[in-house]
Amino acid sequence: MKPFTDLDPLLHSQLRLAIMSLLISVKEADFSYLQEATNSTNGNLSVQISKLKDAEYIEVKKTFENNYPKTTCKITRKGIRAFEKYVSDIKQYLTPKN
Amino acid sequence: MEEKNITQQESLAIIQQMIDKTKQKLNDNSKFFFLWGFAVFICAITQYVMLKMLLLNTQKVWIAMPIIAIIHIILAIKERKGNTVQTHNDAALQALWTALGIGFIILAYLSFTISFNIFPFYILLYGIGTFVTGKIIQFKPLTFGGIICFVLSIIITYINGPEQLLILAASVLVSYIIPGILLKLEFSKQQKQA
Repeated sequence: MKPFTDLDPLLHSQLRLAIMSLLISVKEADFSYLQEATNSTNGNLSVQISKLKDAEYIEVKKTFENNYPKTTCKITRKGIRAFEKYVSDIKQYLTPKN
Repeated sequence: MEEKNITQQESLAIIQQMIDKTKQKLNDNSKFFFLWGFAVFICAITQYVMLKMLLLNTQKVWIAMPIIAIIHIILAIKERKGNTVQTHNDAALQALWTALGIGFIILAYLSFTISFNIFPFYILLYGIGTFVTGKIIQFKPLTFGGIICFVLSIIITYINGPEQLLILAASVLVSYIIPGILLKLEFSKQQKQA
């Protein structure tokens, strides 16, 4: 098997890819939804969300609801483009070359 | 889930698995259909009975509508607070019904400023709302209810007098109340399977 040299390293990670796959299918999602869907720990999810946010792949909005902090995540246009490129790059690896 | 190296196949499996999780589940929107369906149905029938009894100021029954709108807003805010995810369908439905809600208010206002029969237009808007909602959430009873409303919005113009109120009541019965009951049943079925 070829190494994944060309794949976007930000997306080629189990949890970050899972977060992006969820966010590409919905308009926006809460931290708690992402945590439940990915079955990840609080700390790890926070770290990966920060990385995606720093790369401007997602937007993070922090608000308060009933005195509790609420974090809402939304994919950006840059994130959508990166995700689409990642999927098409992966396809090249999976398609057998004649 | 944690950080580790993944293969191409694992990548695809993750994408597939996560997209499956967000697949549209039927939301229980039935309470809003019941709220408006029963409110309009009861008001229309009450006004019809009052007119038949030759009572005056029968249009006052519609004062209930702003109260229903306030109940609707309270229920919607409460529901929104409990939601952890908003799908594209949720956003589309919210935009549709907000636009229709504004349409209902504008029509009510216009009926005071330029006098005209408001009922055919209300029935038409009920039809547009339930037809599009039915298509978005792929729930046929709502779409059929919408189509019946389109027909009723024309039929009502050929009917004179208090009987127009019966057509109005029929329109919410077929587009809001009956599909609302079926939606509730479908939702309960889905909850049991999950």
